[in-house]
Amino acid sequence: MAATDKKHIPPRWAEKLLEWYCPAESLEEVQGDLQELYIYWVDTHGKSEANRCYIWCAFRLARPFQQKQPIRSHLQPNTFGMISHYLKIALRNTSRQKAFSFINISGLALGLACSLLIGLYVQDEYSYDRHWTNSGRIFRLNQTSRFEQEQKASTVALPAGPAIARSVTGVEAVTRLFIRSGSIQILANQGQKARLFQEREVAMVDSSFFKVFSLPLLYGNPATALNTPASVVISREMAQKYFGDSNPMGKVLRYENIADLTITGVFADLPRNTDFTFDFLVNFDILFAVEQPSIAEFMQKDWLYNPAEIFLKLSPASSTAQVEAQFPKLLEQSGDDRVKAHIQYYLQALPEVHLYSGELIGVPSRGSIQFVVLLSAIAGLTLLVACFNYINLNTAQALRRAKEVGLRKTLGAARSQLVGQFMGEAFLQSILAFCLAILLAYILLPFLNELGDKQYVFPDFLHPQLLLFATALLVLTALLSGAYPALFTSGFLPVVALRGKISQAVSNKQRLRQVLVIVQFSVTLVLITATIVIYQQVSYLRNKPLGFQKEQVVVIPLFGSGNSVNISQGVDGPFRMRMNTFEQALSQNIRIQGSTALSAMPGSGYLRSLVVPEGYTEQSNIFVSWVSVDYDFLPTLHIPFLAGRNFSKETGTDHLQAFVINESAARTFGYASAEEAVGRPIQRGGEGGKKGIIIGVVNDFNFNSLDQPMEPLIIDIEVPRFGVFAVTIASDHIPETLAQLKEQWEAFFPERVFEYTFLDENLDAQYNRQEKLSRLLSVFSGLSILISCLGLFGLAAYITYQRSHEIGIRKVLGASTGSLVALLSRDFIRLVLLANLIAIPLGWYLLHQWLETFANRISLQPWVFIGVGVCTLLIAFLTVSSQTFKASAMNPVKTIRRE
Amino acid sequence: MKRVYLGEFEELVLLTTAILQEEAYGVTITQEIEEQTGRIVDFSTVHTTLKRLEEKGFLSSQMGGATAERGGRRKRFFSLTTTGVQALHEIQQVRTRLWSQVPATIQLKGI
Repeated sequence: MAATDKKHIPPRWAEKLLEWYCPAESLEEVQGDLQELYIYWVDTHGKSEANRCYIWCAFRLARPFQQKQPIRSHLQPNTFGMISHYLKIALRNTSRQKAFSFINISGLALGLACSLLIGLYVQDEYSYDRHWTNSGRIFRLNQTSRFEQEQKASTVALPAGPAIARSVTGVEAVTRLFIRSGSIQILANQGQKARLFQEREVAMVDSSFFKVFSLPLLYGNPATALNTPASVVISREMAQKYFGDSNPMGKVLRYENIADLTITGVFADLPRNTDFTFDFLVNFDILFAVEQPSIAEFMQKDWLYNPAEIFLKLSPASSTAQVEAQFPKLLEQSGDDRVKAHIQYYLQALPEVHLYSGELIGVPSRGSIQFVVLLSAIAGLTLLVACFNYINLNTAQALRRAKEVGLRKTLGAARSQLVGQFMGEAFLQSILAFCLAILLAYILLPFLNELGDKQYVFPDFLHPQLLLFATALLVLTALLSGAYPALFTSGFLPVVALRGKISQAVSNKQRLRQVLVIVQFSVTLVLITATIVIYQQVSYLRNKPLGFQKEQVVVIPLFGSGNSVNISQGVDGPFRMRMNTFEQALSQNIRIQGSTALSAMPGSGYLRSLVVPEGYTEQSNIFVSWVSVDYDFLPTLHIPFLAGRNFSKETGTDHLQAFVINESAARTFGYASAEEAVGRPIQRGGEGGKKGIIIGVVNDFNFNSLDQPMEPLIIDIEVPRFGVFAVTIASDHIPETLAQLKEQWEAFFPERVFEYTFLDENLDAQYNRQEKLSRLLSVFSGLSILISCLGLFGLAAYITYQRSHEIGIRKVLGASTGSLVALLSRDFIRLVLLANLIAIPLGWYLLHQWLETFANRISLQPWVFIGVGVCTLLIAFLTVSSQTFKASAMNPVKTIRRE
Repeated sequence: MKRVYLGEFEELVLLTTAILQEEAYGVTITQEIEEQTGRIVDFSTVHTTLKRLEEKGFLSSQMGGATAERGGRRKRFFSLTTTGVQALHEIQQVRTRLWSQVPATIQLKGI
């Protein structure tokens, strides 16, 4: 430097730049050369020109890719080598600590598998009916009715459909959808015998159906397929069933033995994730053709009777608010003051129909947002419990790694590197757990299918959304379970760590571990209690006396399926005659105890009808559930009378003007006692409705599902309403009796397929959802307690190991094994006790909320909570004491000498 | 034998190195080229060319002693390898042979 005076110093930053990128081995000469040139430039061109030249050259020399093989100095870190080193350390650690690794990985795997399965379920539930072209523009018309109470329904009146098409602007297409079951007859052609089928899913739709729903047709033209009432579009599955592989176009089906329908199209099978389940699409007018003219007229004009769904496809420019604003005017078209005053329409987006229709009456929705939320919560909690295990065990294990951390730090490892290393280990274990979880999920898939009524197959996991979810889950799990231990472990001061004084630092973290254990066990406890309470509630519902005989009752669907024409010829019509002789024939059979026809079986929910008892007017708007039965219904199901008498054929006029009501109805109508109600006049329906007198009062029986409260009910005889046939049979020789029943049925009703169910099975089916929930919860609470105990086991094993020295000394000084076990278990037991204190009020509150949704419910019993608490304590104690006992039984010489 | 490929500038640097003999390093080579050809030569271009020629095996280099004027930094001296000398010779031969075949008339016109 001596020779270079101040003006010969080049710009410092340019020099720095050179130093930064110039390969180390040529830096010296380049800097030298440039320095020499700089002096020359300063002398010949002046300082500023020299600066410019220097900077220019410095930049020009920066050609990062010029050097093909950079020669590394041995001082630069060997990244690849370090990674493989970390990997090796991680694998060694994993394999050395077999028990811990097993607990960590299996716990995580269980949690992840749950999340994956539930993720699949949730993703599927959310995908419902989003696949239709422009499904964002399709809406269902729902109605809110406010009579004595507010009620929302997914179904609306039939005339609303054409009225919307006529007068609501901003609607591109509208279709009604009304699913009924019915008999389908394949007409004999080519000399074959006609075959008869009973089909459950015949959908009546408007010809604009295909304008709303982009259902692809394999055969036929969607624009014209349903234009005439004599056309039918069938599913590919039905085409296969009826006609095999031959082209079904133009073939004729006979519907309800009344209408001949020509097949004008075949649609591809509906996707799995849709709420639509129809196999046949027929023109809506068929409904009116098969009904009695008076009923058909009523259906077409009445705006209170709401049997059908209506779907609207809005035009791209219009908004829901715009369309909804026109509904009051639409309802005015009904010309019915009650409709105008009490009914409102609103739109529900098609993709929301599946999950958000729980409170709507009408077409039952198969999905439930509560179920989805609950399941997601359970999955999240299970995963959380597993992550807590990981955090707990790894923090506890930190001691073992302390020396390693100290050594690494002494050798110059930065904290970030250590965090990276430990996070990497967490990722490695998470990935292992993930692989295991996929395997587990694969094994458990059939189970989920059974619980959720789904047909998932393995490739469903490969759904992009789900893969994204799974990856996010993996990263989240690794971060959640790895971050804390990594930060904690890497934070040791090397001096402290190497001296082996870390145990103090670890025990300072005791608090956190305790909190995690408490949270873990609280979650588990709530899950277990919920399982028990839900199970109790479901079995309570199933076994509660309903007020009628439900065992050995065979239910045969009759005529409610649209062909009431057959029976509507009146009380003495030919069909009624045929039924009477059939019943007579049945009564010959000693194993058949009774038979009756009625509109719908108890438990299936009844139509509500306007009722005007004595002292009220039509304007009182009393709507009461109503069932139409035959003379022998009440005795057949053993429903007892409080007062009055049953319908009697002898009276002669009972089918025209007699009513039986239940106890609740008598109370609602303001009668002081059942006896007082008998003989009072009553009217069902509005103006011109059926008038009569109350001839009897029966005990309340549960005609609704038990999750609804007991309601008033009126009963009368209205033959055209009959929809089912009920037969009570003796409890022995059931298969033979059924066979005889079938034989006789076929002799009397050759045009109808004999199908039957048992009433008690039907009733049980109502609680399927609750039962599903109960089974699902039992699985998850089992898993949860397994994971929690795994964690506790690991923790106990570790703490015991840590305190083995102390145990040895205590033993030498004369402590008994029992006292040692007590000493060591005490801490853990205290934690589980604390968890109990949190879980009991929380569980009590949550379960109380859930039970509130049932009209008939069990009361929460304290012993359930106490029992669960004691059991959990016991399990925890066994888990912990298995370790502590081992430690305290050891020869103290060994443990003391070890240090 | 593998054919030798030398760019025009590479040939220039190689020749200059040969001329300068013991004194051939980055600065002198740059200055010599400027002096001999009159064209402005960038140091960085010379530097990278020297590197490239060394990689190709036409040049070898060794570090010299430190000099005060460079802030105590050493110089890297370049010298031709046998391959380098051979390459230069070959180029010269090819050129001469080619020139000898060019008709006289064109030679005059060309000038």
